Amino acid sequence: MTAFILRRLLLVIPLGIGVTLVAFLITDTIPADPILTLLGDKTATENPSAVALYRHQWGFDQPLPIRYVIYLEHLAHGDMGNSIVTRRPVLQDVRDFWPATAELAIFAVAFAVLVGVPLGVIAAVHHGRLADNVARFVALSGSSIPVFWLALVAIQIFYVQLQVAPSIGRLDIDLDPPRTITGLYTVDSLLTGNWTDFGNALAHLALPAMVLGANVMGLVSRMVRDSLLRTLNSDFVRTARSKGLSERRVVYVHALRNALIPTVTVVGLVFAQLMSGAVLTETTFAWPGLGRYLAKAAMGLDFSAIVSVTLLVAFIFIAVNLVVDVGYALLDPRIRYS
Amino acid sequence: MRLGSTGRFLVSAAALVIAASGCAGGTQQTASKSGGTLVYAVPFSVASLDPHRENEDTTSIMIGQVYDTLVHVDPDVPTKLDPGLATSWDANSDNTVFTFHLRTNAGFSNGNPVTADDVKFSLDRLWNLQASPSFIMQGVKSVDVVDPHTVRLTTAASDGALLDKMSFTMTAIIDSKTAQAQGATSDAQAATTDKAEAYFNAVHTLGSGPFMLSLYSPNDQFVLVRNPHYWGSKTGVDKVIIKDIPDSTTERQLLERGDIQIAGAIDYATAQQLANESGIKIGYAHSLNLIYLFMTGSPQVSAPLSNKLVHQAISHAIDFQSILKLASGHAQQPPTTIPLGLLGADTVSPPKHDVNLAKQLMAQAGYGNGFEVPFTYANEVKYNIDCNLLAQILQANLAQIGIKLDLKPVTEDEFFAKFRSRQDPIGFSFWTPDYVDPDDYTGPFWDSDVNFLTHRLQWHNPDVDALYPKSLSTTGQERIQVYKQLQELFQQDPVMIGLIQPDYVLAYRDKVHGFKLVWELRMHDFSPVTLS
Repeated sequence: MTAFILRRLLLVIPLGIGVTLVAFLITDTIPADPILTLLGDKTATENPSAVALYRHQWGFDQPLPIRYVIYLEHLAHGDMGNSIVTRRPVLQDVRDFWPATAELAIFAVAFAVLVGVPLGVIAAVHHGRLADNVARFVALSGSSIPVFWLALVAIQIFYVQLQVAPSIGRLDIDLDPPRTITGLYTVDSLLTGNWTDFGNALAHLALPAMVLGANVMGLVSRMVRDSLLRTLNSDFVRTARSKGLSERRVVYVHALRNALIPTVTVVGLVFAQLMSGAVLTETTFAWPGLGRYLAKAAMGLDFSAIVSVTLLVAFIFIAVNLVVDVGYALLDPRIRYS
Repeated sequence: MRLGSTGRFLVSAAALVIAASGCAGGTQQTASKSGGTLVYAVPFSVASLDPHRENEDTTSIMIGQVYDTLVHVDPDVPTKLDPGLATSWDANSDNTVFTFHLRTNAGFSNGNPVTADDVKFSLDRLWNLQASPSFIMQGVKSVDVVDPHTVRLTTAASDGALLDKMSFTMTAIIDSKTAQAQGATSDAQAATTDKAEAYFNAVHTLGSGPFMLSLYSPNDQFVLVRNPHYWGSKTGVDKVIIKDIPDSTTERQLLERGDIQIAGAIDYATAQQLANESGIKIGYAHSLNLIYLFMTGSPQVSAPLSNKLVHQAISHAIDFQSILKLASGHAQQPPTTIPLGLLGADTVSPPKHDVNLAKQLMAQAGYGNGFEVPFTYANEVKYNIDCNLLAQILQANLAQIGIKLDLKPVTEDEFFAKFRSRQDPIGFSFWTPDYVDPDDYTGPFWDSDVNFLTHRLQWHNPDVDALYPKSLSTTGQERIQVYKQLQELFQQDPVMIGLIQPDYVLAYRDKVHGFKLVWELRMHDFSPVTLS
């Protein structure tokens, strides 16, 4: 197992090089000039010496291959470069923006699993009956309603009309955030004993997490239903039933554990995707996360930010996949890595 | 010559300002008290927090509250200047030497007094950093300290716009002692030696404005609190939060619930829907934002479009009234590229919509059968105007005189890359004012010495070039006459046509008093605002 994990971790190096190279090449083909973002149209046009100076300072006077090598060299020293859009080190930006995204992703996936799995089980157990149809309808709605629309409707109903949801953002506008330890407001407020912020942060997470998680919830519930149905019809379940085990024990202990394996894969991948930012949800809920940061970076042709965040996302996918693979072994005793 | 506020020729432009309730309206208002938190929502565009390196809209609003400038543009009359850190100012007869007399009671938020040394350091640094806002100091030969409370600016040539330029947000005066201790430099090598940007970006403000910055969370909010050492009267609210709300529907919902007090980015349609809701007020104000059509001056780029008669024909083919409707009527048509509200802009008439005249001009130019041309434009909503609809109107208008526009919507970056390449035969672009003076719309637009758009369009008008310096050496009534002549000369070959000047629109809770909507977004002043 250790050797397997080590091998997978070593994969990070060639993958990182590949991902940054592709990101570099793509950003270079866009017909726009980062100097414009830096200097504005007026100075960029009227002041050639400023243009030359800034090209040099930001390294744009070098050919692409040299710039790529310089980037890798800095990266090896833990320096992700400076963002053109925020004028700060990309590493600092990631440290500021990523926790908001991570917190939202964790709660969204938690919602999706806590609702999606039972829904799938109910549907499978009551296969073909009313409960199945209702569960399938909920699942289908969750996975087919566009997230930006769901977000707007949810805010209109729960915030504007019923007035049960708090305003958008991570905390009430007049509250000061808890002292930064992890950057996750729920965790930091717990660690510092700031109960006002804790309750407030949880309340603020509820709506965006449900909106972002709705899609995943639908997916999870449909997968659980399908694979549970298949498992319930398999030989070992028949054996278990013939041994006289209770239906409850058959479904929850024998069948469900096996049926969850494909679900774990999907949840892992979706979680990795959500951890890299959800632009639409973050925009509608004014959530200062990585998705909006990356969207702004892309529009400002912010090389360092785009390449570094792409790299980070690749790392997240590798890490999550690794966790998922290890999870297989725990769920299915037949799977062993050597 | 004394150029105080009384000496300047004033154009009555009171209609330019829509004062929120409680502003000189004469009506009785509900009792408003000092204190509380004002929340202003706007989609963020922020780069640096260093005022001398930044020129983005949202940062400008913040910097305008935190840093003071030598002079302020009057909120009611855009052609008038009010005292800022300078209580009075003089200029010599040919507008090349300007002396500013500083107030003696101004202090930075850390308690240090504002002196002439700070002014010199700040203005020198602004120019020598060669950053995005540095252009404002173009032509200033030297900044000299006469005594601790007197500063003299000398320009290389006459510059009648210099006083207005000193109201530009980024001519922010910073505390030079602290800045230098944090690595700031102002000499000719500042662009490479200055190391203070990181200090500013770590939420340190060194200003003498009514507020100081207490918190900045990127893509989230600026939190401003009172500057205890501000020279002016105490601000009406304790705290101002400038909140990043990227989605206009969300902004509307927050306003309806009362979680924000001012919605800074709503569109005309939303404003009309909100107008009838209780507790919400809508304010419109004329802006100086300009969308203008441009054509090339180079026959190599396009033979027909570089023809002066075709420029004239197009100016008469456009149905300006239907363009104004894109803003639900909340817009103006500028006569040339100088927006209405600025000195001398209204001294000439705008081009008349006359399709027959346009057809005659096309025939005269030898293009009676018309021609086809690609039309690249930014597929965006700019100043609340949908550029797709604007392009479609132009396409329909020009089709009537045989010009077939082949519409090519692209991203804004792509559009600017094409425009800057000098190979764009025709298109429309945008201009937001840097300072409230007609020179911001004549120098960069028409003059071959400044050579900004003249370079890009490869078009030069020697008559305009010859007269242009006079617009900077004259003052008062004489200057207005120069702008009249300049515009008349320009209209003979209208290679750029002012299409629309859309109004600002804001929605705010009725508990907000004393907030003035002005023609320049970044000139919002939150210090007199009170909440009831």
